[in-house]
Amino acid sequence: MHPSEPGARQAKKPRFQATGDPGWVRVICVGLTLAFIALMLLFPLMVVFTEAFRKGLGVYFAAITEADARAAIRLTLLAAGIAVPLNTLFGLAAAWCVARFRFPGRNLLTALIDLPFSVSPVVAGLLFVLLFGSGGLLAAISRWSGIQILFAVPGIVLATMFVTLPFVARELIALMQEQGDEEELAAMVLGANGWQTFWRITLPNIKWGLLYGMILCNARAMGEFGAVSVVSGHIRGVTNTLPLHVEILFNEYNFAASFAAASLLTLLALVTLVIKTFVAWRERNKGIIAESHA
Amino acid sequence: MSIEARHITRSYGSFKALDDVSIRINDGELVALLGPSGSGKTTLLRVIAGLDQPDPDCGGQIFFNDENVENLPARKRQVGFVFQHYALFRHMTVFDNIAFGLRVKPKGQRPPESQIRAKVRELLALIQLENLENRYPSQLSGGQRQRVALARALAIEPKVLLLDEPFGALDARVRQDLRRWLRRLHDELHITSVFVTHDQEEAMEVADRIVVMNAGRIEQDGPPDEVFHHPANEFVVNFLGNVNLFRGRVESGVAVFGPWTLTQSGVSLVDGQEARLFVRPHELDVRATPDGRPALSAVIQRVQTAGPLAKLEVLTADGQTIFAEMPHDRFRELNVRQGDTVFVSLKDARVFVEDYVI
Repeated sequence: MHPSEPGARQAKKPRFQATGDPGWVRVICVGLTLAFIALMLLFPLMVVFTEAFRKGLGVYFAAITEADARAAIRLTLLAAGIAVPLNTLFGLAAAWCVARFRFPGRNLLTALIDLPFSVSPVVAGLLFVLLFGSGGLLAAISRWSGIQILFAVPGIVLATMFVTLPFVARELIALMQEQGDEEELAAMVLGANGWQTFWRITLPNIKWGLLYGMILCNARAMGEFGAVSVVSGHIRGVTNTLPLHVEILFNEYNFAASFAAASLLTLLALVTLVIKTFVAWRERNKGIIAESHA
Repeated sequence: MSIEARHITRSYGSFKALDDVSIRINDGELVALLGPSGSGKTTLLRVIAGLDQPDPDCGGQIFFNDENVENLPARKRQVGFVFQHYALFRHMTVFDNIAFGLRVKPKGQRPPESQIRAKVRELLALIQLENLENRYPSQLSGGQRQRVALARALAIEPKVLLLDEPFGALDARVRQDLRRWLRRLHDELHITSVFVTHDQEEAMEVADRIVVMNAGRIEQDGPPDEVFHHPANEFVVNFLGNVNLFRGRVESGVAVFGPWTLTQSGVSLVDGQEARLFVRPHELDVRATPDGRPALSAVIQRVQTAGPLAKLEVLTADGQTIFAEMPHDRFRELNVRQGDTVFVSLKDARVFVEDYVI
């Protein structure tokens, strides 16, 4: 065959790839990845649902609608319902500070925001026990106000807030630093006050990043086990969140009910994943537009 | 409206972006702040707009029409500011971008929506983008974005227009067009305008007056013609384009540079002083044979005739490269080529001597 017939050559031979990995390397890489995903992710996911439905739909629904389960679901929703909005507010404020101003201790603040990620959740829980337990630094607050914090709902909310604090802030700091403050300055020069600038310029520009952070924050708030476990005291129907409920049932060898409750958390994870992927995709699309805009 | 800045100092740590700068811009003037990056020109513009504050202890003041605006926040100064990278609102259409300044006005001053629409349409016509009102900034070319940014700034009927490197991010052709367009626009609207640029050609072509800045200070302030033909100091000569530098010494009251002896009015020459001679390429006379005037002989290294002027690069006996420019007809008359020896004499030049330090 003549070298002057590139079309004919290409038809027979696959296009040369710059990376040039031999076929067997690619097969092994892809095979390993798929096997790992199946073993570590898909298989456990299937087990959760097969175990949950092993004794039939009736048992499944009974398990997730009995009083203790309903109380656990309510408490989980409550803790997330308080932690997510508060951490969103905090995240907005912190990102605003870090991305828009230069002040001493700014880097320290950025590092501190990440602290809950680097501390083991059990330690975080213990921290609250030490703070609010008898003789703790903040035990007086509990005494004076008469509000029970440890082994009660306030403690659970606090622990949840602590471990989910970084999600929104981290997401927004990166985004706002990348976007810069020129649009906000432009709005200001055009006569907009701070409030108008925030609602009309800042918020629309960060809304997808904000949503992304909130979704991650929510998923963690609902799924948190370690920190909550330490402060909750495991009072059935009172201070059990859904993850704690799963553990208790499991320890009682009530596998069907345990997996039924677990399936709710798994479902939440799947829904989160779908929304997260969608938001990330929106954000990336916007990113591309923003890049060509620059 | 006139603008006046008095004794403005702005430091970032130990770096002085502006060092006791005072400047007055008259009503209806179009002034260029010209200087290299880091010279403080953008900082000065931002201080005027209220986007940056002078150092609190420098006693600096900003006046609009002789009224002190020191304590007026940026949003109340009524300035039109065009950012270097336009800073268009990326989530808004062209129309909404231009309307923004009118829509955020407080209730009492806000015109009705119908009036806002009419105003935006008028501005769209002015920037010749009537059919693009529903586009987003990312769907526009650089030149179009620049014009939208300008229309957005003009919508609030600002008393002064401040432009930060307005053509910096555009390619050469678009720059040319926009420059002329901005000049025409200014001639129509007569709005006091200040623009920042590092391109001396741009400043010469567009501005009524050029303020040359360097290292946080003003080096020279005058009409383009004066700045070009009577540069105040070495920095200005150097910055305003290609220049040949000769080193010499003052002897018997005149500055001596090889074959040339010069005096300069306004410059006191003290014997023994180091002197420097600046000659622009078009201020050199090149001849094929000596004509009796003091001249340096040099060998032609390179001839470049593609362009409005013929450019010669010649090498002197002591190894200095000199650039000379002349019209094409003069070059044809000269009839020389690479490797020929020529005689270079002065038509015009500027002498600067070392500051005399005791």
